[in-house]
Amino acid sequence: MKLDDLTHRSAVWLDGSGPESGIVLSSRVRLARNVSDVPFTSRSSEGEQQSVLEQFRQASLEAGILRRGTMLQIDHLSMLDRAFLQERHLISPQLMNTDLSSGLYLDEREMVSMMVNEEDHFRLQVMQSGLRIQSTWEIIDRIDDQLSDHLKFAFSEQYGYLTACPTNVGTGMRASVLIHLPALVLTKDIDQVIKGIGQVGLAVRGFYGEGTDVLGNLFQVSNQATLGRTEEDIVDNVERFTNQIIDFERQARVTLLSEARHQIEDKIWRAYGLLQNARVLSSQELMSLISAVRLGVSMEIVKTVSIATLNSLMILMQPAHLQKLFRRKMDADERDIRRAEMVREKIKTLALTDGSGRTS
Amino acid sequence: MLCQRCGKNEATIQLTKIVKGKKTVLKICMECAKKAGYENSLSTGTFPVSSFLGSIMPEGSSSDASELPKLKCSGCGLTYSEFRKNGQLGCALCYQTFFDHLKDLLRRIHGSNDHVGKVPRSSRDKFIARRKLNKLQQQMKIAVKSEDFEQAAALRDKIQRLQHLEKKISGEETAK
Repeated sequence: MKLDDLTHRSAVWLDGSGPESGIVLSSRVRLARNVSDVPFTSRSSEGEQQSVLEQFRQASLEAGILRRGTMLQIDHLSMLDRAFLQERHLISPQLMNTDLSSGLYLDEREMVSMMVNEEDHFRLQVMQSGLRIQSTWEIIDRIDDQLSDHLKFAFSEQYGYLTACPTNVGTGMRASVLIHLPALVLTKDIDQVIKGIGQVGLAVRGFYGEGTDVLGNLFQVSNQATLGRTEEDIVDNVERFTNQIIDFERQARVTLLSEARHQIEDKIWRAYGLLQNARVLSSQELMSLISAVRLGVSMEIVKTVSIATLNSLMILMQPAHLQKLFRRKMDADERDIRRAEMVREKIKTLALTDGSGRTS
Repeated sequence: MLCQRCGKNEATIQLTKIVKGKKTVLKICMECAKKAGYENSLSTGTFPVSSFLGSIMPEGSSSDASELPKLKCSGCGLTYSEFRKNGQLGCALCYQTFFDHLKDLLRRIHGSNDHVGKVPRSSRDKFIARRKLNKLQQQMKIAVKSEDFEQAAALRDKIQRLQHLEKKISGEETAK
């Protein structure tokens, strides 16, 4: 598999499958691990960083589950390729700007990935579509077990897995969901929900654009503490409160439909019309249009586009993706024109070839 | 208003973060947002939480103020003042070097000081046995305190059996 092979297709975690996928885009679990006898990345030498990469290569060969995948040397990649990987949620901003010897392992379906020599030696990540935190944890738990047979992780009896930042020590685990909450934003109940979640030890993050609007009405809910609770408790906690938020979002949708059906339908269909006809589309505008149409699909108002198509447009139409797609550098103005063109094509073909609402 | 991060450019982005019910608002410029990974909408980027850690860590009390900042990890050479500045530890040994100062910090971050989660597969049996032992010893203390000596004696026997077993296991390991 080559990096460029990824350009045209979207990752499995965007395919709109799994429980509650109308509201929950994806579930993700990551584990932070370090090799026991090498200083953490920020204080390790070039030679030690190479040795960490080599140890991982060896371990991934020996551990069955990671055999089918690709290892990329991040510091050898262009900035465009790195931005591309960041847009796909495969590397962090830190790795994006690194000049240290660092790597990214990823499997063919982009379900399992591993950053090597980020803040910690290893950041293992598993992502799946829909609300599947439990099974995502089970997958990553198994891979971690297999890797630990071949790698000696820094671990202390009292503090658990030792990490560069004390905020990750213990389980080294962050479990999160990416969740789409357009109705709660419209009814303005979102502030209450966010406050409530904060009180149960979870963190919510919105992705803010210009002004105060949350981009695409997307939020990330994740556990805050990593020490003093078991992985199962963390999974359970995140899953339980995600279900609660889903309930609130559903209630808000019912309220909207009963009190302002025409206004909501108008908003959704206008957004749909813009996606089909716009000639210039910024990332930001696209995200807000997709959010409205996604709400429409999830409420069965719009039946000619699939959740999977909308999910994948959110990733594939970002700046680095567009430039990889067209194989050249483009400024923002040109990107906005190309973006509108691609989106029109995507939505039109779908409407013509597939009236059932499924992707062909 | 100027960017709260670099202090140079006009702040155009408002970043709201809510942690444990506490809302913090950061107004930053586009450049800093890009650096922190907020440029693309779905980015999972964050401002390093670590840079805020320093503010909840002790500078060192007056008596040891001159000594504490110079406390140095023998594993990687990281000093306490560097740790306090960056919020990042340098190696596994740092957790022992700065043990006394980490205890309070970890309790503040996580509400706990003890790992109860997963243990690496290779040493799982050993750790689980020891965890069980600790729990029994605590139960025994409680039994003694409440003068339930029958229960305490039963627990003591259990503990001795376990300790014997553990010795056997570790003996086998060193024999390897």
